[in-house]
Amino acid sequence: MLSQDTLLAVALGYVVLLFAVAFLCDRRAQLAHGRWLQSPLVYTLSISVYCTSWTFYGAVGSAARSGLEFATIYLGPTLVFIGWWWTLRKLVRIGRVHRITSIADLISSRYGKSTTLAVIVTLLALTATTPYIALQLQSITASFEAISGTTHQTRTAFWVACGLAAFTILFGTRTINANERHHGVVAAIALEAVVKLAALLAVGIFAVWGVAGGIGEIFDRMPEEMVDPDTVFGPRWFTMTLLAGAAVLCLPRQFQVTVVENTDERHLVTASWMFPLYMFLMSLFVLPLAIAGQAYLPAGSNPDLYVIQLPLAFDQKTLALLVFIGGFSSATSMVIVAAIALSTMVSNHIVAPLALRALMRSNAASGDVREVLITSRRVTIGAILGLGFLYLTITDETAALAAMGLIAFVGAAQVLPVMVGGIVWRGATRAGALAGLAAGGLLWLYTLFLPALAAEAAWVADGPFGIAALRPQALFGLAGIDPLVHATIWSLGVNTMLFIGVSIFAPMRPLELLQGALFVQVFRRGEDGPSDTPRFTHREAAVEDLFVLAQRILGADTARDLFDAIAREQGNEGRLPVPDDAMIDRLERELAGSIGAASAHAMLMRATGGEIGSLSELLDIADETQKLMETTLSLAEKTDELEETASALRRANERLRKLDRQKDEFLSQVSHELRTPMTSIRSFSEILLSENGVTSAERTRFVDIIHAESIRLTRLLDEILDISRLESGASEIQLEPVSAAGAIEGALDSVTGLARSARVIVDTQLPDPGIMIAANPDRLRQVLINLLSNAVKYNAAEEPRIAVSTTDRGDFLAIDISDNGGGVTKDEAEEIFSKFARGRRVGAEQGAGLGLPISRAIVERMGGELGVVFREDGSSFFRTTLPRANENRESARSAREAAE
Amino acid sequence: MSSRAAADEVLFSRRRQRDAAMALPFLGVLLLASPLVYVVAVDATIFGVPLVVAYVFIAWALLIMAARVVGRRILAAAEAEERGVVPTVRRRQP
Repeated sequence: MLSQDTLLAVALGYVVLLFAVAFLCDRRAQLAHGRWLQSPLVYTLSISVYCTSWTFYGAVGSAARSGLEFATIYLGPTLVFIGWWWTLRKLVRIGRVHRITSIADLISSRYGKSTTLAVIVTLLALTATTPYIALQLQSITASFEAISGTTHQTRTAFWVACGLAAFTILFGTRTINANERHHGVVAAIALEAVVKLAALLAVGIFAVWGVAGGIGEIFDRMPEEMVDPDTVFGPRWFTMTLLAGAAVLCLPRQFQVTVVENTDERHLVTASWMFPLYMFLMSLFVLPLAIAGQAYLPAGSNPDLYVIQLPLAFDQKTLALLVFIGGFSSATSMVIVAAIALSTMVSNHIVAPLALRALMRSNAASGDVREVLITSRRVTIGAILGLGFLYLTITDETAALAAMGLIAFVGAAQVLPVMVGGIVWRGATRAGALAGLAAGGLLWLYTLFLPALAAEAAWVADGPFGIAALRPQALFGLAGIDPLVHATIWSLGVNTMLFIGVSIFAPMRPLELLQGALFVQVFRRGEDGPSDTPRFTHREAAVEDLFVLAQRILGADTARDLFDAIAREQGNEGRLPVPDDAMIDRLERELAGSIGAASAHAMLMRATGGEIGSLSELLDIADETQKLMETTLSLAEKTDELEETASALRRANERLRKLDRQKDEFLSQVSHELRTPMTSIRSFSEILLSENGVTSAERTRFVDIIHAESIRLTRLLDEILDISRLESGASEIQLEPVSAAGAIEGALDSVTGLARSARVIVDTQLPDPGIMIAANPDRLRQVLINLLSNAVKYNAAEEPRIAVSTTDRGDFLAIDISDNGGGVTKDEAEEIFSKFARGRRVGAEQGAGLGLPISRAIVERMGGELGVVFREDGSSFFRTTLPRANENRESARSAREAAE
Repeated sequence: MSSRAAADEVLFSRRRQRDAAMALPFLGVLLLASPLVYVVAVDATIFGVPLVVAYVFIAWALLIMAARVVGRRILAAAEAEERGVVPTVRRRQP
């Protein structure tokens, strides 16, 4: 046995160490040096507040009584954490976005910022947690007694409770803003997590290798009934796994460390395997310790104290001291975090609404809500520990307390359907949540909590007033199953059914609908909050009123900083911000971080006198947003397709613009061409009309000119008419078999005069007169004359020559007309076929520039081609390709086939 | 590799990581809290440890290792994206 003084000194020394750690870390966090404090390791260790003294001492006790079953308490959370993607990820994001301060705040905020729901969850949490705190106090005092051999349970427990209250008040209520996290407390708890793991591992190693002599040896001593393969995986196995999984999400202290104290969402990813690993290590030696306790300790020892009695029995004082510190760590960390979480809930959801009501009644009074809230939190922490202490002193039966761990789990699990439903199901309503929680909570009290308190009472055994159907542990005749499984089935089953059923049929208020959408679709919005969501509210208030309100809740300095920041963002630096909807929403979120969503909402509603839009308005906006998002999504997927279409459009547009330009050019060319003859006609007519000194010879000459010009004009107009008809397809061209040789000869005859006067020598290679082509004889003649006369007119060579030849190309006949005038360049080759274009070989005599375009249009209408062909040496000639007449074609083919 | 192909690859590997993270708890339930556990509910020992006990702890350890692999990959992908090593992928509907 260790002396009581030594023990007290060690315990106090440890507490001083914790104080120092918490103090230093708070200071460092304030000075922004505390980066390592925000590491995933510290986060994981703080989550291990799950392992309380109920784990540290109780797991071995549970293993001694029920074998492997103890593992379910850690397997459930393992499944939840490795499945972080489903639930925890979303909870943490929602917690950050909506400045959630506690699990009651989460439920209240989700279901339309309902105060009633917050109060129900808070009361449920209080009822479930108080006995749990008593359990921690009891374990500290019991281990103290075991190690020191004294029996002053009540006195020890009292001082432990006082010490814990002081610590929690000091570090847990420094500020009231839950978003300013409790760095000091978290650091102290992380340290305690290391200590309790080290202590349990040390005593486990001692039991296996120090006492029994090896793993095989320890299991040799295992009583057969401890791990019975036939019964180990019974209904309790599955029920407890489920309950433990629910508890790690819903216990107020777990919600506090996992969601509220989370500083970085990525820490959760690391914790998803590190926290299960922590629990794995905590569980590793539980079974060996239970076996060793049963094998080596005197019969009748309390299994819940095997962990500390083992080293004592083998006179390992240092190890016993370490175990005591480990158990102390696990108990204190739980009490501290639970007290912080509960005090936040009580002050935000019970005290704050009352304080606000009082504050609003005396609107002008300068009552500082902040002071009220901090005080209420401090008082609540003291009250919670006091309640725990009281509970411990009036229920001196240890059995009742030992069962409290699981009973609290079932109580906490009542929040699970409402919480999980709230973040995945938009249709979940406040009425459904109220019905489910109330029924589940009452059934839990009736079937599990109260029977545990009064196990011997007659109403438990026979039912109240002797009504057998209402027996709490065999409700409506559901007898013969484990009380825990029985209570879980009834409470969670009715809870879930009512929650879903009532939700489906209950009407929905606009705010519920809005909050439901914001919670369920939290990943659609940015990480920093719903600042990019459309504004649903239409609220107005004088900014001065809002400032006073913020000062009362946040404190003068914080409120000033917040308003300055908002004004800066609005571009109004140095002035008060404009109280628009966005600003009021932001203020509400900031206030919610201090006093909870429901109170913040009520307060601003009161100050602004507004209410959010009607249901249909909300639905409209939601639909609009939805549509917008879908469009954006499909647009993103079709970007490439669109880009392609856009470039096709661009190309088409360019082509159109070019055509437009060509049309303009054409028109200006036409007017220019028409203007020249018109001008001369007009001027000569004016001279004739004036009749002043015009001789008769002159008159004849003038009239001749007018005549010639009007002929030219007519011809020009004919040509323009012709080409527009040809191009639009308005003029029919009748095709008939024409002898190629005949057509060429006819055309040559027509230009003979011209050629002779220009002294051009024409070489002709006429085709077989039997070769017929499908053409219109007049039109063909027109084309050939045009080409030949061009060759004559624009030939500047000293000895001008023209060559006409034909080539048989199967179904087609090509008529080539070349000259030695230098041909055309490749650049010109297409240009000369456009209207009014004239080649560079233009001589004195000019045409209108319509000859070639008309010729090409005619040939194309006859099913042929007209173009410039370049020889290898760069010289060029005009080639007219025309289809051969049908019968001719066939005979040509058969002739070729015969030749082959 | 074009930026689009790279983005597709990132999207694809991220989807696979997400799928792994989503599937893991179901594997866990199957191994530890489903009727499948009755397979090992026999009276046998392995290295002196009852088979039931050994099974639960080994399955537990395997799940932790799998969660570690999945978690590290997701973190590495998120960090790479943040550093701009790979193009940022448009956030899609969760």
